[in-house]
Amino acid sequence: MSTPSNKEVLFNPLFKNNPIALQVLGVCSALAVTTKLETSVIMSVAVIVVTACSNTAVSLIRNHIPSNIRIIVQMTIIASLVIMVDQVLQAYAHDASKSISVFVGLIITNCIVMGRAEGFAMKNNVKMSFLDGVGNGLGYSIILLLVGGARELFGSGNLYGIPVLQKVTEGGWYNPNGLMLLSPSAFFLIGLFIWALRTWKPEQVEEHN
Amino acid sequence: MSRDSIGKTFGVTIALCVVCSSLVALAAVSLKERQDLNKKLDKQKNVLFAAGLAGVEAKNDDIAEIFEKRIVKKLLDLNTGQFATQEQMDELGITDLDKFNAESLAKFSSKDKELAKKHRILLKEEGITDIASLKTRENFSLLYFVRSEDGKAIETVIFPVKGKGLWSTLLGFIAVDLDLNTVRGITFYSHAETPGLGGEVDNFKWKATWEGKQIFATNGTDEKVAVALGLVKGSADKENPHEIDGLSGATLTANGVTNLVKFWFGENGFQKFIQAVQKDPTIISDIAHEKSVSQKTEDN
Repeated sequence: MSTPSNKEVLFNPLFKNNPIALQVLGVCSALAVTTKLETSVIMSVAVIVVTACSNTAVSLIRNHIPSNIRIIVQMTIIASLVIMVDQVLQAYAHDASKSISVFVGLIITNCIVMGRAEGFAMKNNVKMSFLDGVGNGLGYSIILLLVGGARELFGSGNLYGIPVLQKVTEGGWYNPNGLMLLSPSAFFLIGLFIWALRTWKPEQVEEHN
Repeated sequence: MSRDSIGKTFGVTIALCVVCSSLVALAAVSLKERQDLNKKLDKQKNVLFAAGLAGVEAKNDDIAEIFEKRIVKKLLDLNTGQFATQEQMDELGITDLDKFNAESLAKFSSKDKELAKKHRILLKEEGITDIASLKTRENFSLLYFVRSEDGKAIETVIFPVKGKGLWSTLLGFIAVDLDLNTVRGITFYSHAETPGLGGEVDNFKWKATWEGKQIFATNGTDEKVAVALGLVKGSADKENPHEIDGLSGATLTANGVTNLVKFWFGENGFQKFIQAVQKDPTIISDIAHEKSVSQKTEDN
């Protein structure tokens, strides 16, 4: 395998090797925080920061990490970063952190962060690992934003808190679809997204034997 | 030394722990002040929301200023319906009402049962029906009184309320007129109900429908009989002063809101205070003559 270029490392995770759509990692939090676009945006930023920093940190000390405790070392780094992100959110984005604080804590268990630290940062240099972290964070974000946007629009008629579709209850014409606000709808939307992506890029379809 | 040797393993672990814990500690300590400020502001903002003194777009500086100028805080002893005495406050270790935290009071635990009982009561032990699913109730509650624009009278009383919804305990304020019956406003400053369903308790249009509703049913005379205010399924009858629109798709949150109103304005909540004020309205009107902390310092 030839070494991938910087650009490939950064942009491949967006569509070609999307962590949610192709690797199906981190779906759990994608269901929980996507009821509103605003929480999706904050969650996206938090995940990008954590994957980028954890990849960088793990890569930086990759030659010193004893292989039999490497998972715990990675977890410690990720957990520390997540706590710091949560603290910063509480200090500078208090209103938003009130609604997603629980899920920010759960970034620790997001398989994308752990998966990239173990799968990429342990073997590659600092610069590449950083780009890979940002790229995978972006790949996660793109799904989160699409799902979050669709759920908020059809579930409560708003986009980023601003009314777009006039609701019946407020004298308009749109009758909000309550299902969109419940977790199953995120499954449907992610499924539709994967379908669309694989129609566009047929090479992502697994072969049947 | 190979990287898998015992010495190296210990070395790396210890170094990592020291670095990570100092970073986390640094973040927590350096941001603490800002976070506490945010929490305080958030609460003040919600007190003003309930009283209708500030809108969503209000700036933080304005909020602190309006709060300072218009709000008087008083600690209420829920068991007697009187304001807490200095002695009681000393006993609880409260020097600054800004730092009063009803949650920690309600969760107070001690092997010394008598001491614990001074802080909170266990509803089950007292044989009280726990309609708001609180398990314990603190003995003291922080009330906010809103001064009129000229500062000479009290206009509104704001009661803190809480109760279990579907997922979470809803914490909020209900602002009531001087008759202690007509609702001025309601707001919840902390909850984790489903966004879009139970989370609609944050909907401004819904909250606005509370204004002017009556908490107590009267039996023809002036006597207030029982708490009648509550949410109904579907749309409320506009003529009925005790009905509020239900929250569609969120029956359990709606029941929680109804129950918390019932509990806190019932005999185990603020009823003793409300009865005392009805006998002697000067309890409230006297507060307006008390000087606020800032004015006191100016006089000195």
